[in-house]
Amino acid sequence: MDLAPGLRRLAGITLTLIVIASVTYFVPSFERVRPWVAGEGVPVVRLFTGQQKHAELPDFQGSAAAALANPEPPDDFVPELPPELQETAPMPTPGNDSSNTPDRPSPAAAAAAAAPATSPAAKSGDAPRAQSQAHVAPKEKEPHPPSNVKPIEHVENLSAFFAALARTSKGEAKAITRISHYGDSSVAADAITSTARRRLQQRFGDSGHGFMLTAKSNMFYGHRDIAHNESSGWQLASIVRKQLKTGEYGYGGIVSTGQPGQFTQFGTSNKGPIGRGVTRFEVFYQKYPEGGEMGLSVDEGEERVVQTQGDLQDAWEVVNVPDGEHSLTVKARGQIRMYGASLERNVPGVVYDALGLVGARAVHLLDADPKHIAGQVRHRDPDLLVLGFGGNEAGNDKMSMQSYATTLTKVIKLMRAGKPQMSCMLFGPLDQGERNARGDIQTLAPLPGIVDVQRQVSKEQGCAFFDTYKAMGGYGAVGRWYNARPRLFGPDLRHATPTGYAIIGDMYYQSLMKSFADYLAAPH
Amino acid sequence: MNFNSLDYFLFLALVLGGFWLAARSAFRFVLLLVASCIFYMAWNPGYLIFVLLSICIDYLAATGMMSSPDLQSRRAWLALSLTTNLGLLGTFKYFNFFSTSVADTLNVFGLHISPPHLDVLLPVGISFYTFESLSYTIDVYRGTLPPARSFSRFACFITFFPHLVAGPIVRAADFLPQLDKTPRLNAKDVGEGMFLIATGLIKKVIFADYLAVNLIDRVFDDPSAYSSAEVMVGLYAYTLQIFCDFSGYTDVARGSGMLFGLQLPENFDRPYLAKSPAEFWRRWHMTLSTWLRDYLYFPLGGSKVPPARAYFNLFLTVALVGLWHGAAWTFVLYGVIHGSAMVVHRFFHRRSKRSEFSVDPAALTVLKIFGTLHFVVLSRIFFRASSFENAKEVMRQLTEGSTDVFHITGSVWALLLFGYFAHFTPKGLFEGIRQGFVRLPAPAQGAVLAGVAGALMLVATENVVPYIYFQF
Repeated sequence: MDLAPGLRRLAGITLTLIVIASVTYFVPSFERVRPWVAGEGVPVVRLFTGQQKHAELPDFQGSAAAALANPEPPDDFVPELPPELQETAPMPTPGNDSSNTPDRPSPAAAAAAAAPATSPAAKSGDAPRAQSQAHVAPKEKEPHPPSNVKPIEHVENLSAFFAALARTSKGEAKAITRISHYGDSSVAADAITSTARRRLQQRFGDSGHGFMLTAKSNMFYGHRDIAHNESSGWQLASIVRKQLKTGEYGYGGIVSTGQPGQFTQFGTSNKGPIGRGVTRFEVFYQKYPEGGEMGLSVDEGEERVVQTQGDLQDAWEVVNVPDGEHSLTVKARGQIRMYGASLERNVPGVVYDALGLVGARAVHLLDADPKHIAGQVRHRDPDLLVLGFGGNEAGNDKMSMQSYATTLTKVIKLMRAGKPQMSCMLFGPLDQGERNARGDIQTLAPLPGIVDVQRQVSKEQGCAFFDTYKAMGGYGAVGRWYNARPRLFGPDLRHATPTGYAIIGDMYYQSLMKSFADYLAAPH
Repeated sequence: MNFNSLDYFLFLALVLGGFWLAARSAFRFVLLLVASCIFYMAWNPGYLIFVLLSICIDYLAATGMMSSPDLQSRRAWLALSLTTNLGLLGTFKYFNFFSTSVADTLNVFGLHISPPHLDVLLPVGISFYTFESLSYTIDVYRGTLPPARSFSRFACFITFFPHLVAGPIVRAADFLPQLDKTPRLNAKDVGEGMFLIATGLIKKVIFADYLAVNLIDRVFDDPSAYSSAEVMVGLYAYTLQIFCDFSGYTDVARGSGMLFGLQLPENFDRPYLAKSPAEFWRRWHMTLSTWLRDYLYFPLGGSKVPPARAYFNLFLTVALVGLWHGAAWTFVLYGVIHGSAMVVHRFFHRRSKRSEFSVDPAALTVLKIFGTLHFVVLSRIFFRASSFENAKEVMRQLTEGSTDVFHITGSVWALLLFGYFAHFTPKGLFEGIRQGFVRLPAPAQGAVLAGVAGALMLVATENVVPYIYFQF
């Protein structure tokens, strides 16, 4: 019979594969090639239950997922990096001077992180628990050994932000603290920012998801804790591609032109405790002579028509709703130009705008019309401006550091013009690498220099500086993160894995909170 | 359910087990049909209804044709099939494109209208299964194929999960007879099927995905950040990526089919070795090219009509290849460019009075391959660009004249060189490797496959990159 040899061959191969796959579970060094690990969901079944491998941040101590699972984190909670990832002595490379960034944290380390969390959305839309005053919990005053919490440099430049955060922390009415975080792909994917947003909102209150672009600008663009859906066909003009002569790209750096019938929809999240409520949708758009009508409908109800025809100017349209889960559909009835929309709640808390553009470099922001971007920032009224660039610049080993410093200075001035009194912080690039001739992973040559320039410029321009590169472990960290289990850096050696991004987000949050605790402890 | 996932291989193993247990009974058709529906529902459960609608209408139409005594009735049944299939395809894939285009055109003349817009997602694989189903009804109408012996056989032909989502475009005349026979499996088929699956995954994961994430997507996202030389390398990389992505998918599909004892057609024949645009389309996505030849070009008259009409037939057929890929003007232009090239090539070829298959001197052959490859590489700008603006940016950057290549990493260079080297290497080399694998004992084959799987896991990009042709 023809069938038997074929089936025997098939069975033999299958059996061999099963045996070899089983070996990976018994030999620790084969851990990375295990076909399946706990927590990934039941294969095949997960495709129908949405239990995808990358759908959620993984659980590990200190991750956003862990924090969300425990609405009241323990007072002494400090995320720990695996020992092999903790900072090793940096190699003597240019610009890698760590002498001005002391590793030892102050006694009030991670203070605010330990204070009771307020998670209004977790309580089905209840207003956040008001606190009579900003404070630190008793345990927070005890010394910590938070080896992975790297202090923010030039922290004195965050006083305006911390003052707003203190008001929010006290539960003052309308005390919403807004953060505008511009950056490259790691921000576009809401990778680091989603962790920071979740942690801050859990700690200080969820005042809404914040701003999101009209349409998906890239396959990697996407935010967590918000429901977003759009029709196809939006024409996008991005500041990264310098597609407009006018420089009017909007608050998020991309203007989307919609034709009649096209729509975009923003809604509250339907899972997890964060992003579950909204009281105020705000549509960012442009009026122009050829503009058509724009239809706004809440929860797919009756449509309100807004006319976008008029003299060329930026415009905003607010839609108020009762606190709870809602969606807003924006539909083009004629041709419209839209920048995006924000979701907020009228309760004290934090709003974190992730304004990332894939492929972005700081210099791209200079393509914005100064008056236009100032108006956008002024209207948004953030308390902290974060500029997270440098990752894409690091691939250019012929870049002049002097011209980079000049560019960065111009960018800071441009972006602060709309609200000079807001705090400013440079969020340094992640360590990134390449393989040398022997196949070893090494840090990209320009990266330490870029970090050095950012440190220097932030000091000169009155901004704080979060040294992500140093927080990851300094020179060569990319190799250690790549070889970690679970893997924390991707094989392209340019992007972290979701787990890696979550760790960076936690370190960033912890550093902010440590600095905030120091701010509260200091006399004002 | 991507082919490059654990889910797919566990699913495949389960279905194979059930299929061979029921191999000698008609239940195997029910099992394959249910499994294929589950496979499709992993993408979008709701849209399964449209696949099933197509199947029901076409089965009914073919049965109706056979029982119809006159040509008039047969034509009516064919019209029903064409209307249903092309109606669904047109509605889901092209309605918004055409309505917006009409409105834009009217706007130019000062007539402002609000075109209707359908808020729908494109059903996965609709372009593929529509053409497969149409091949069945048209062949039955022409009398070159008898209707399927049962509904379940016909439904299995359309939904057979390895080819359901992204081809190859299987002809009923090739596939239905295989279903009618009792399935057989020999050790050689198993070895060859496994080898195809492994090579398909290597093409996809190592070449296509790595190049996409580490160069191509970046270049097309922001061409201005790259030098002219880097953009050109990006285009070479995209040309290799799309081949590895699509042919990799086809390899896994064909390999999976072989494990069921079913042969799916080859879809590629080292296309970048083509010496002319015409030869390129004989080597690239062959199942689409031959489908359009048999069901569009020949019915239009092919080349057996006056020259002007023959050129038009050729141009239209190739131009529609562009539109088949996507409802956007960039795809239309891509088709028009290739259609025009085919017309120009045929014009000069006829004037030279040389046979298409005449042998050229080696230097001229190399020149022709070089020219055709670069024509393909450059025309791909419109295939890959997200919009005309994006395509213009790429072209602008391409002609800027800068020569830096410091954004290209060593691994990207290595993959490009090896990828093109492998493409231009004589078939015999890989044939030897394939035969060597097929001759190995089962445990050794399993060990090789496990090694490949482990290596792929180590180099796989963190985010799963969907197959390019899923969007079509």
